[in-house]
Amino acid sequence: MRKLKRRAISIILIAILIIAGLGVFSIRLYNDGADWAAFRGNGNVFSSGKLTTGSLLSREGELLLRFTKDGSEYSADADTRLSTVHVLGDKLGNISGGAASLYRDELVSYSLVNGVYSEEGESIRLSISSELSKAALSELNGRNGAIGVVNYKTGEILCMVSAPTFDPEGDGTDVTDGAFLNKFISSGFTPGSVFKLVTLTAAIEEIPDLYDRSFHCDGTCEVGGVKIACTHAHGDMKIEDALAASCNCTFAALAFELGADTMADYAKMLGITESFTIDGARVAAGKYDGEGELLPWSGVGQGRDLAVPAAMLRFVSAVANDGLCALFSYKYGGAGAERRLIPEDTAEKVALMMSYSVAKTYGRENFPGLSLAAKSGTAEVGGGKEPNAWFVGFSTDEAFPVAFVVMIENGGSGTYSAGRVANAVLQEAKKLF
Amino acid sequence: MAEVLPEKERAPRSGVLYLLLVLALCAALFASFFFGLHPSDPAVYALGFGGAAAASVLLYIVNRAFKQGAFGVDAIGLSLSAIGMSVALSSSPENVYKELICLAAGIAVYIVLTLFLRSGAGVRALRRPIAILGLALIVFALLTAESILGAKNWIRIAGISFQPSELVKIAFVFAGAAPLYSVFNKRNLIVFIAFSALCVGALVLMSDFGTALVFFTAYLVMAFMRSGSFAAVALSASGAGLAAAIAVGARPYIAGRFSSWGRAWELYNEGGYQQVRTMTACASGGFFGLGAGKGWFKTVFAADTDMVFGVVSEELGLITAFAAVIMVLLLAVCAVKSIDGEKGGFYAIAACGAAAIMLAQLALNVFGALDILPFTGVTFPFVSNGGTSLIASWGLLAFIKAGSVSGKRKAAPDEKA
Repeated sequence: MRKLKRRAISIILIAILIIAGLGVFSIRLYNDGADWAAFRGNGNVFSSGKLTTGSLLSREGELLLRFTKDGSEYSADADTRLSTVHVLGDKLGNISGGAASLYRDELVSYSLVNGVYSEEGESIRLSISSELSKAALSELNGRNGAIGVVNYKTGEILCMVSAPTFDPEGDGTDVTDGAFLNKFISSGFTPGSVFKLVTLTAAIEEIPDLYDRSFHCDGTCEVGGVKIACTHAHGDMKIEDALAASCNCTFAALAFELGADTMADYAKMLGITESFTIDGARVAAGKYDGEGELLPWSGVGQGRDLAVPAAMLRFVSAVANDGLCALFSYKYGGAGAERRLIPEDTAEKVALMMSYSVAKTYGRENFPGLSLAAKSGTAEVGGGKEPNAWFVGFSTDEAFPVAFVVMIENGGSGTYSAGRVANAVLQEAKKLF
Repeated sequence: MAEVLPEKERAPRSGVLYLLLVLALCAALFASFFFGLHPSDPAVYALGFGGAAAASVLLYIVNRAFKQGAFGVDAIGLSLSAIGMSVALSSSPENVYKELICLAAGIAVYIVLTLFLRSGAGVRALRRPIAILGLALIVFALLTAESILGAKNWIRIAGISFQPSELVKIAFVFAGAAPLYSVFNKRNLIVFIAFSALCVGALVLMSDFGTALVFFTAYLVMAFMRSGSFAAVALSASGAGLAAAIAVGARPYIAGRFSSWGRAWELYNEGGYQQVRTMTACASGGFFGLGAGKGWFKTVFAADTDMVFGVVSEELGLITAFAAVIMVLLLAVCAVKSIDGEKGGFYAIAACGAAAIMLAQLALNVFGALDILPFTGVTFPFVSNGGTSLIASWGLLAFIKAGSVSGKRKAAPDEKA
């Protein structure tokens, strides 16, 4: 019998293997359980691949979107729906990078101990302000474009509006061309003069005697055999005045001096031509082309240059924050991480010159109660259309740490058209602080 | 386990304690349905778990009346059956009567078989005929399977469907434990090879790779216990392995299951469909489950049989699912610990053969559904929904019980038959 008992060890061996198998399963569950639970086939929290639990709240705590077994339910307020649909995503999944899909894993409210069991479902509070979003959309006043406002200390996106927009609870008749596009993160536009900030940053880094130089503008000039036109003759000026005057001749010459490769390197380093993500949502890469005859105009943001509003905003928010870029997030409280985009002293120099531009060119009186540093852009788009109007910048007030981008398609002059919208949006944003 | 302790150390009331635990489990499962699901027809659940509780009491009384020793092995079978009842009522509450009939039939088979096995003379007299009957059943299963290639070999008798391969397991244990006794002592390789051929034949003809593997595992365990020869076992295993590899190659259906093994998440809507959803169900339930009847996973095809670990995890929680696995492991421990009787190797080998079948099923069912092993579609003993499987599990349990009862005989030689 003892012999038999010894030989029965094979049974114990199988039992031990089964315990080992449970161990393997436990480790996998611990590591991947959240992904397993968030699988779209999970009928406990999805129906036909759509979430059936959880909700998204605005910064103010208002309900923006709730997921139920009967489908998703947006805010009762139509203006809120129109101004936040690009943040949230739509019912049919036409808008990519919506918060509903970004936070899917969290909305199923999985925990190792409780699984997906939840009485109420998970509520996620977003950094997006519904009031600010509504104000921004109303300031666009039917024009197409994108507006973004971010807290540059935390990276929280306070407002992200893209137009044309549509009502996610509507019957689809209000959907026009481009309505499904989130222009803030997905569309590249000719940047025009806001790109001079990139050229300026490269010049500060690469040209040691930049501040000692004097630049001259007769209204037109020739750089590398290419004729460059300015709005008028700016005469002799220092670099800060050249930026304030947005002198094409100066920045075309700087780009030519720096060369296409250096310019391309900075465009990439500053995030203009590189894709990045906001909580997993992909921001499209812009474009820089300084080859051959394109080089002088490329430094002015014309030619083939393209910038995505979100990337432009990220760049100026890094300028505002001593060169450190707080990772963008749609979540209340932000992502809590940052990375250096620009050397600190260079960021400070760019910031000072942007501030000087507001004082000298845009007029502080046009931004009452605000202390701004900014740059406008009036980007020629050709085809007989009005230029795209840009206005990017930030508040230098420590108590109101926001950066912004306003881009109005065919909006005309950056300073007057986009600048005015920026002021109105920032006045509303100030109420949040 | 109490039943393998020497008589003096056995707490006399431990049987009552086990019974109370089983009754508490039945009550808890009923409460989970009643208070969590708020069913429109609570009588179904009262009937199901009330029936299971009544069967438990009945089995306890029979156990006491026939002085069958401790109640641990029985309690494990009853507990697992109660969990199985929960699975069955969750996916198809309308089948409550069928479930109760099958449970009653399973327990009846168990009682009859334990009493029969207790009679040493009866076993000695009948083990050869039963073994031959078992072998005949295997051949019968193979032949009937041949007529419906590709499908599982269901047989319908008087409106009730049977899976002969499930019932063959009982005969297989007889066949493995009894007549091979003398054969393996002579190290007869021809029988090894014949047995291997039979298993591979089952694989090829029945397209039921999982069950073939279960039989083969039990065969290896029993063969090794008899012969103690690694060489003989290794030879037959490699012979069967080679034949299996050829068979797998020849059957795209089986090969397909192997090709998706370990890649379930890549093939989440193809070969990994069931495994991915099992894992999802396991994660969804957490430690304590979503509540009996409140899961979604039962709506997935074969969830209540081949992927039942997922249903139990999702609805009753991982703690219960792990406990169910551990209970089967404890049965194996009981089988091994009971090897100290003086009634000959039959009881020891039969108990271990039965335990090996249960362990192999357990491993293939749980780990197949979780993509740790290839997904072969075998049942979880007692828990998987299915009448024949439940009856077969109780039949196998009888061998383990008989082993432990024979252990008791050593301390009470006056009872020796």
